[in-house]
Amino acid sequence: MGNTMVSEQVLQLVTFTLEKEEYAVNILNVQEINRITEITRVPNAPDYVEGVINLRGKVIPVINLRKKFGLYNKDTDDSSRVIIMDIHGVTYGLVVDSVSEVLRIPADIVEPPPPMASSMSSMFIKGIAKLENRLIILIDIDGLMGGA
Amino acid sequence: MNDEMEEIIQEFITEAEESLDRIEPRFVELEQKGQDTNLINDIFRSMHTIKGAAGFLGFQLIVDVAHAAENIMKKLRDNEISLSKSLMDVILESIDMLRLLLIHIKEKDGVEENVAPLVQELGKALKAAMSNLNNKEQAGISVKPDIRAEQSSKASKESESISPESASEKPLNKVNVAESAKVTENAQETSKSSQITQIAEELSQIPEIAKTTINDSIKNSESTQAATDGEQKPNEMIQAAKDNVQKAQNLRVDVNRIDKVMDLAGEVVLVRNRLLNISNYFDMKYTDDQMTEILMEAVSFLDRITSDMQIAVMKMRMQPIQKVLSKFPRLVRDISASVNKDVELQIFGEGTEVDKTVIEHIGDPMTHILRNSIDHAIEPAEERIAKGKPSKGKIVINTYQRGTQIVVEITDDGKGMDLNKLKKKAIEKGLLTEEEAQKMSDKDAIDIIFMPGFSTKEVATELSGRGVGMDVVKTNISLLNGYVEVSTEKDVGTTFKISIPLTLAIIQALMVEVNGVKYAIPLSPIEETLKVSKKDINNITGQNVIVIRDNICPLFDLSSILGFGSNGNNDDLDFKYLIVISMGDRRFCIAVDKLVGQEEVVIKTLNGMDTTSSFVLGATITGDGKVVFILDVTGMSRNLMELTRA
Repeated sequence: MGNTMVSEQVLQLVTFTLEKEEYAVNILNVQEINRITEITRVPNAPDYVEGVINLRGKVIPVINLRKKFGLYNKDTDDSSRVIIMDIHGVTYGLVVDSVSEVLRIPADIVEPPPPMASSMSSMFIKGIAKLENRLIILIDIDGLMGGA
Repeated sequence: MNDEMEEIIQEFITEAEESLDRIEPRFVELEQKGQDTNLINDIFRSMHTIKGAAGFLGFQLIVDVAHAAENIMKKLRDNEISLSKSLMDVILESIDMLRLLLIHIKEKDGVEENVAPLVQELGKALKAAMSNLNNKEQAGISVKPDIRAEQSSKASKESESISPESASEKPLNKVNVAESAKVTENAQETSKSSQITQIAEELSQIPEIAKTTINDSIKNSESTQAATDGEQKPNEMIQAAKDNVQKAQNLRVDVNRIDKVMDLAGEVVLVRNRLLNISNYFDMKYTDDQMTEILMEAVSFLDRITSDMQIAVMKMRMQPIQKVLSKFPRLVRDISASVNKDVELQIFGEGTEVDKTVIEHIGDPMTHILRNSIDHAIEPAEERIAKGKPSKGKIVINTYQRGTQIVVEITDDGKGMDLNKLKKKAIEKGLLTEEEAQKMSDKDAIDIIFMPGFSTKEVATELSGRGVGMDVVKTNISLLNGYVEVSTEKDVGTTFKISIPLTLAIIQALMVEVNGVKYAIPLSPIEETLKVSKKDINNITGQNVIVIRDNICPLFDLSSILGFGSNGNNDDLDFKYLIVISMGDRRFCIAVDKLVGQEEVVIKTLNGMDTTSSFVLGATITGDGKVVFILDVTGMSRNLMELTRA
C-alpha cells in the first residue's frame, strides 16, 4: 500500500505521437483507445472538431489534435487511433497519429513549459517531461477542452 | 448514518417538498377566498405532517418553524383570528424557510439557519392578530360573537373526545412517542374534528396499516359524528385518508432508474432498427427460403413490442404540468405586490401530462413571461379604470394537449404591445434600420421583443427589463424543440402561446440526404414534401423562392445552411426535393437531394460540444450504427428568417 506515495509522486501517462513529437496525457483520463471508426462531420463546427462517433450507443465528439495544435493536416492511416478520454464526466475522442506506450515517470522530472510567446498551442501544454534521450510534452487536458 | 436512515430522510425530504409545493398555491387561494375551512384544514394537516415527521427524525429547526406556523393555522381554523395580509406574508416566509431548511438537509452542508427571528415574528403576528380581534370584540364590532360560546362548548366536549383518541391510538404505535404526546397535548385544546384530522393524517402516513385501520377510524369517526351531530369535517377527513391510501399504490421510483430504463429502451429501438435492415436484406436475397419468412415474422413482432415498450416507458416519465404551475400563484402574488399592482391569476388544464424534461425546462420561460406581463403589460389600477377595465389585472394560464404537442397559453388583459413603439425602440437601439422597420410585417414586429438586447421600459426594473428576459424565453423553448407565438391587441391584452412536443426522448423524423450524408428532421414542423423541377425555383433579389399554391415560400439549400457548401454535381440534378417547414405561422422550404424515409429516432444528447451554430439538436444512431444528426429546425428558422430580413 502506498508505495507510490513513499518518497516521490509517480505519474502514469499514455504517450502518443503527432508529427515527430511525443505527447502524453494522464492515464486516469483515458478510458480506452480505439481504431478510427466512421466519423460524422458536425455542421458549422470549427475545423479541429473532426466530428462525432458512435461509441457503443453513445455519441461523442472527436477532436483532431493535429488541427487543434495547428499542425498541417494528414489523412488518417492504419496507425491512427482515437484516444477516448473522460474529462469531468464528459467523454471526448482525440485523433492522434499513433499511440506508443504507458509510461511511469517521477513527477519531479516534469518541467514547466518554456515561454513560447506567440504559440497558441502552448496554452494546452502542462509541462515537459525530460527523459534520458527524449522529451515528452504533457498535455493540459482542462486547457485543451476549455478551448474546445 | 446508515443507508436505511438515509432512505427515510430522503423520503421525508421528498414528501415535505411535495407538501410545500402543494400548499403554497393554497395559501394564495386562501388569501383570495378568505376564511375557507377546507383550505385551512388542508394546509394545517400538511404543516402538521411535516412537523411530525421532522420531529421523529430530529430536525428541530423544522419543527420549530412548522410548529409556529401551525399555531397560526390552528387559530385561523378555529376562527379565533382572521386572515390578514401581514399574517399571510409571515406564513409564506415560513414556507420559504422550511424549503431552505430542507435544502440544507438534502445538501448535507451542515449550515444552520437562524430560525429564531422568524419563529418570534410568527408568534408576534399571531399575538397581533389575536389582540386585534379582542379589540374589535371589546369595541362591540364583534366579528364572531359566538366564538366564546363555541370555545366553552368545545371544552365541554373534551371529556368525550378522549375516546376516539385512545381507540385509534393502538395502530399508531409506529408514530413516535413524542408525536403522540403532542397529539394528546393538542387534544386538550382543540376540538374533536381536529383530532380526527390528526389521526387520519397519521394513519395516512402509515400505508402498511392499510385500509382496516382506516376503516376502524371511519367507524370511530362515524360514531363521533353521531355524537357531535352536524359536524361535517370528519367525513372529509376520512375521505382524505382514503385518498391517501389510494395514492399509496403509486410507487416512488428514483428518476435515475427510469432514465436508465429509458436509455435501454432507446438501445433496443436501435437494435430493432438494425434487425429490420438485416431482415429486409435477407428478405430480398432469399425470398423463397421459409426461414426468411419466419425471421420476418419474428422481427415484425419485435418491432411492434418495441414500439409499445417505448410508449410505456415514455408514459413513466410523464407528469402533470401542475408541478410547474403550482409555484405561479405565489410568484404572481409576490411580483404584483412588489410593483403595486393587483393581479389575479387563473390556471386551467393543470392535469395535462408532459415529459419530465419539459417540466424541468418550461418553468423559467414561463416565469419570464409572467414577470413581463405583470411588470410591463398590466397597467396600474388608475390607468385601468380610466380605460374602463376592471381595476384588477388578470392573467390566465391555459394548458392543453393538441396532437403530439403540448400548448401553454399565457394571456394577460393588459395594454397590449405598441408595435410602432417597438419598432422605434429597436431602431434607437440599432437592432433595426429605418427601412427594415418600414417593411416589417406586424408579425415580425412582435418578434422584436425576442431580439437579444431589447427592452422597451425606459428604466430597467428589478423584475424584468434588462432586455435579456424574452430572448431567454425563445432560446429555452427552442431547446425543447418548441416555439413561441405572440398575438397582441392594443388595450385588450397579449397572448403568448408556447408549443412543445410531448416527449423529447424519441421522435418521429424524416430522414433526408444531402451530399451523400443523412440527416434527420423532426416530423412535427414538417407540413409537406414536394418534388420540384429546377425551373420552378425563382430568384428574387438573391433569395430563392418557390410558389406553392399561390403562396410565395422562401427556399434554402440544406447543404449551404449546414456550411458544407454546394456539391457541384448536385446542381446538375433536374429535380430537388423540398421540405416545407411551418413554425407557428412562418413557412419556408429546405431543399435536399433525397428523401430517405420516415423513422422513429432516439435522441442522443451531444455533450462536450458547442452546437449553437450547428443547427443540430442532437444525434441518433441508425440501424447500421452510423451517427446521424437531428436538425434543429427552430434554430434554422430563426436564423434564416433573419437572413431574409437583412
